[in-house]
Order: sequence, then C-alpha cells, then structure tokens
Amino acid sequence: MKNKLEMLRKQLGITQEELANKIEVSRQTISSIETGRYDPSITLAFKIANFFNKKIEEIFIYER
Amino acid sequence: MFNKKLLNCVIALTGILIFIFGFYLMNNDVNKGLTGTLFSIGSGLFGVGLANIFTLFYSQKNPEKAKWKEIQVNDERNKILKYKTGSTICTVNWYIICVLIAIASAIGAPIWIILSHLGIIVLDAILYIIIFNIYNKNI
Repeated sequence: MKNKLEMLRKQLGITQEELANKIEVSRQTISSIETGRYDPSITLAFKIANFFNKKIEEIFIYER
Repeated sequence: MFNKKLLNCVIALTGILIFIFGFYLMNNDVNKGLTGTLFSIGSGLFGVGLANIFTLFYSQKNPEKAKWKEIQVNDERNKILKYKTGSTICTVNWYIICVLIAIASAIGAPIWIILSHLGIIVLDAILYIIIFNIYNKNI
C-alpha cells in the first residue's frame, strides 16, 4: 500500500519525531509507514488521517 | 499511582517475610528443598516489588521519559514485532526439540528423556489447539 504521509508531513514542516509524538507512536513506526515497509492498522490510519484533517483514502492508496 | 506503589510495597514486604520464614525453617532443620524454594520466592518477590517501586518513582520524576516508554510499549508496530519474534522463537525451539529427540534416540539416551521431550511437543500441540480456539472465539 502506497501513502502520501512523507509528503504531507513535509508540507506541515514537522519531523518524524514530532509527528510520532502527536499521534503517540514510535518514530520508527512513522519511518516504516513512510517507506512502505509497514501498513498501519485501521485505528492508526484514522489517527493519521485525523491529524492531517483528511480522509484515509486521501493518504493511503490501496494497490491491487 | 499511589495504589501501585502500595501494592509493590506489599509485594516487597511479602518477599522479605517469606525470606525470613525460609531462614527460620532452615535453622529448625526442615526440608532443605522447601527452604530453598522459600528463599527463591522471597527474593524474587522482593526484587520485583523493589524494581517496580523504583520504576514508579523514576516515572514521576521524568514524565517525558515515562511518556516515551509508554509510547514504545503501546506502539502497534512494536507489539507486532514482539508477537512475530515470540512466534518465530517458538517455531525454532520446536525444531530444536525435534532434533534433540532424534539425537537422544540415536545415542540411546534413557527413555524418560525421549518421552519428556515428546511430552513437550504433545503439550505444545494441545496448547496450540486450545489457545487458537480461545482467540478464534474472542477475536
């Protein structure tokens, strides 16, 4: 699954550490999501979407 | 927080009492196995209680580090990593036990050694079925 997390985070001008602290996950989790090595749970995906004030499908792109 | 401190104080004190009771039994020539067990349980409880009390004090004095630790513990990726690591270790251990059984049989080890290893594998399979069914109903 692809995502626009890195782009959105950079648009806000915050670091991975800051984003991680805001949504209460580890920095490594943010890094893994950004590089596509880890797909977040639906709960975390909602948290991320809420943080950026967007819909989940605007951040995470499902690929068949 | 206060309740946790109190609980851990009680655990540590219980540990000390069990340890002292072990000494008392040792001086009265009671079964050495029992005194040894009491020493182990007593020192274990004391250690756990004391460590938890120190951790709670440390968390109070360093709220940022405590928060960081809480995030690390509750982080969903870390949880998945823990589950995967545990599962992999169990699978590896299972193969190791199978190899040990084969080696024990080949070198003509006593039958109780082979049977106890086989027992572990059977127990593992039974536990797998039971726990899988519990999770299957609840998740």
